[in-house]
Amino acid sequence: MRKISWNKYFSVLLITTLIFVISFLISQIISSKTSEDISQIQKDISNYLLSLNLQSEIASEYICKVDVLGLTKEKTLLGQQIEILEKSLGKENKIVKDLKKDYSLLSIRQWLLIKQFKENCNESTNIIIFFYSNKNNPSESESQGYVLDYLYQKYPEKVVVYAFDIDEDDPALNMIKKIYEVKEAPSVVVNEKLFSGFQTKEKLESLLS
Amino acid sequence: MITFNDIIIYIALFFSLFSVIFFLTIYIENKNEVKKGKPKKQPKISVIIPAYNEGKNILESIKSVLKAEYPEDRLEVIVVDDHSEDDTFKQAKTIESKSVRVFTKKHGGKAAAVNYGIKKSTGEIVMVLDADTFPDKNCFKNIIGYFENPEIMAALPAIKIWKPKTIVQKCQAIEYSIMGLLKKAFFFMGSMSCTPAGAFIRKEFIRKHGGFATNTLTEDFEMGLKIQSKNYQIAQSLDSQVCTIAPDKIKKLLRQRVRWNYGSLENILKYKNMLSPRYGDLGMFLLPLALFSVGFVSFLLLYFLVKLILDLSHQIYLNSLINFDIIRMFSFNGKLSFSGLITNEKTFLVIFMMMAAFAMYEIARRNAKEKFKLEYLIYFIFYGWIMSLSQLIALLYFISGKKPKW
Repeated sequence: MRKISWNKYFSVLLITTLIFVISFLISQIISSKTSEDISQIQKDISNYLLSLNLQSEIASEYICKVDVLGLTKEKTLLGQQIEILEKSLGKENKIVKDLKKDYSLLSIRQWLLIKQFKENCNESTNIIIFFYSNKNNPSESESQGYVLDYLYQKYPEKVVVYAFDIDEDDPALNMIKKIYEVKEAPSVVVNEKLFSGFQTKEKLESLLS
Repeated sequence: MITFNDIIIYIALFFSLFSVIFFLTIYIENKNEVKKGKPKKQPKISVIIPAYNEGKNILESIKSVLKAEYPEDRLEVIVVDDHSEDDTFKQAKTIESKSVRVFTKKHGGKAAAVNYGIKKSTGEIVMVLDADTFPDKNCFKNIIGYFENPEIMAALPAIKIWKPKTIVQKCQAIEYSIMGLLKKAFFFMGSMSCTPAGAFIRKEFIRKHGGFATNTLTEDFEMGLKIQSKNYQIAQSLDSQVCTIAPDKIKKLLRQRVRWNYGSLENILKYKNMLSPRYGDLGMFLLPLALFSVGFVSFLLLYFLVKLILDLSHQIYLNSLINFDIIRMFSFNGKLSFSGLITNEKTFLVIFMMMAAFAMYEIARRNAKEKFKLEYLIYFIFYGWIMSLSQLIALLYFISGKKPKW
């Protein structure tokens, strides 16, 4: 019978486990810092919502003098931050869900403003509303999202995109779904006209004015 | 949220960390415990050089043995030409003498050639030397002391890479330094189980147990396991060394490692009864670890290759939707991938892993009195992939029941 170094295995196991615990702890400490960032984003969004409300009040009088497209850019930045959080915390995380809800309300508010802007100021901005789903046919929604991201980046002065989760049960959102008779995801509303199912880049580009 | 992906990465990191720390502690604990006796006598050593198409190296190899600091009458060289197609036999013949004997035989593979040479030898200790391997002049006198211990059946010099030129050879030089340390740790655990190029073995043992196995790709590993299975020891020396010519291209290296890995699998299976507590750390830890690592590493590589291909094709599909006008998308994607990284526990685990691996290299490097080499970075990033690939290929060969070609 030869020697088995049980003591050694045990102590090395202990050290390795300790290193694992330390790694998890460090990441915890750092992500608690991110949770400060998260509450910051939450604050940003609610502040922004408030300010946007005010701005739209003012804008309804002086709408053509306000940089509405600039506002959209700020909103997109917030959206990207939420997307990052979604990647690290997961889609089912409560904070993420709440943030997304706030964000879609903000989007609706801004969408109304942009519509007003377009009607009153003779602007040729193309308004696209995009309904996606993470549950049904998510890969088509992802593809559509990719194409729309592309269009937004290619024509930053001409195109604004508002994305909504079709499965979200929000009264305001339900109203919009009803107005445009949206039934499935992906669906795209380009300048008030509904297109159901995936739309190619070429088709969408041809619809832009 | 923990995904399947995370779990296998945790397992991989846990095992690699565990192994690195384990071998380091074993080595550090035993560092000063030199178990080498001062040689009271100088037994006769027969250096067997099996050679097949080694016309380029054979003379150098023989000469390096003749330069050794060891009594001339206690050293003989036996060259066994395995029916080479080149001038190996003719070359060797040119320096034939009383202490250098040259034979040629029908082609039968390395193990058969070694067995043939052993039959012709007169020494007490046999050194099996590949024709592309050259012993240091201190090699013999520094190693022979181990044989004062009757439990020790074989002693191994440290292996260095002969004049590394290509980056592939330089990476192997680093690998061999680290391996030297690991082998020393194996020895301290009484678990060294291979007798590679340049190994010194008691002839009595070889004769008693039927010589080197001719039906395996790695007869040196088979011999090592055979010695272990009879409960004898194999010593690893660090102050006695041989230099070997390493494969200079990735393809050759890969072929060599596929052969080694295949041979290991073959022989662990042959000696599967050794996977038991009766064989101590070797049976309970090292052999199972070798098996597990071949299986797990192969799985890991396969899994990530498939995932990479799927991810890539998905990305290509998405970009085909925008006619590959991707330049505009870069800024957006870059931002997304970076931020998750710093809050991720895996990042820290990888950092710890890198620190442990680096410590191992540092100790190995200082031990071998080598300078720090910048190639270490290349070694660290790329070398593992080639090794994993060789394990995967060897496993596939093994499962399919085919032998890799020599």
